[in-house]
Amino acid sequence: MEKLVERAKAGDERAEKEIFDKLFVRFKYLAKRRVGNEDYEDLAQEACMTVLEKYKTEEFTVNFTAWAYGVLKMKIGNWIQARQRLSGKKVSFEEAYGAPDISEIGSDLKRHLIDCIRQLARSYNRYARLINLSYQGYSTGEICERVDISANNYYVILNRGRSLLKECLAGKGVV
Amino acid sequence: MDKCTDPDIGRLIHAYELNGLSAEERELFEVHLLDCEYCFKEVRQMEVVSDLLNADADVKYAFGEAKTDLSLKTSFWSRLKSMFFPDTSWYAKPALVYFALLLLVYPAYRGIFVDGKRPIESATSISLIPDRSVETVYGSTDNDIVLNIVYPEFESGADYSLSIVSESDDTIFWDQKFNGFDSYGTAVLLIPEGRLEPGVYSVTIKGVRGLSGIAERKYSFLIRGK
Repeated sequence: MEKLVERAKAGDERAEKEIFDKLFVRFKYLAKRRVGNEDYEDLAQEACMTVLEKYKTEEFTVNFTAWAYGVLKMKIGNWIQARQRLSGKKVSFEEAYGAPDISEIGSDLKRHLIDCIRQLARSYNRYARLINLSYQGYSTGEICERVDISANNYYVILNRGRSLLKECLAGKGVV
Repeated sequence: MDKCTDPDIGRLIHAYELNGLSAEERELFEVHLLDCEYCFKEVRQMEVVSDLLNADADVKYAFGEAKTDLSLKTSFWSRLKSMFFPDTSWYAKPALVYFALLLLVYPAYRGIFVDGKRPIESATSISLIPDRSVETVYGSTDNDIVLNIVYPEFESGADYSLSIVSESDDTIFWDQKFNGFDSYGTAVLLIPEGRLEPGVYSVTIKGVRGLSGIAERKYSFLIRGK
């Protein structure tokens, strides 16, 4: 990304387009996770426009990516504040993770996912155990302490479980 | 792109999908997502699955069925046990343990069912005593042959040579400095199976050095076939 930015700053229009295509897709994904289905596209677009306007003159503290992320974060923060003014309910940026809308997800996927989870819970029980603790609201540090594993092991087990889950779902033709 | 650009951050992927990261880690990972094609593709690919994992009660219940006892810390013994029997399908893992068991079982099988049933084969014993006519042995030359030699003229401290020669003058055994005699002048010599054909053999013991008496004695023995 940083190389693309250098080229774009030097006047390469194709590089600039590539940056903003990439950013827009990613901003949409990140904004959707924060604000849900409602205004995420608008937020992503606004953030992209701001980045486009300012990136040539801005001096990045860390790098372009971190700065661009900061722009998106600010847009989402403003959106949250506006919502708070309307609803009178105070929500911080970090608490802005709403429950995703799963009403439109097909029942086939859900059925296959449950099958795969049951299968995985038998063959790779550690993963199920960690997920259960995570559902109970324990943080990574608390889970690691509880099951006496290092944080590194925790991520390894999660990722192995994820791979097996993905493999199982792929076997059923759903991912 | 088929590889994560920063595996140290990329390893947080599933914890991120499950909303299990701290605010700092989440921010770190989200910045990483802007840059890393691989991780972004992965989270997008599993986006719907992640939504279900995070929000669907039935999905959560499926995990909940797996294990109810979550409060215990892993003890030393259970950790030791999990090293040999991890929480995986018994037939899939641990291959190493089953391989090791196989290594143990096979020699046991050999010992009990193969070697254990093999008959113990006796050795053919031949006594070579002075002034006796030729010792005749019947039997298979497939057996080991034990020569019990009596040499009354043996003198302690002297050196002897010992040779076994067939009737066709082939030397079967020759030791220039034979030191197998005990203090009574008897010696035992083992000739491994298959070394002797049926026929007449002469054994010669010759004093080489440091003797005061008879310097040479010959013995003979005959091996007949079956």
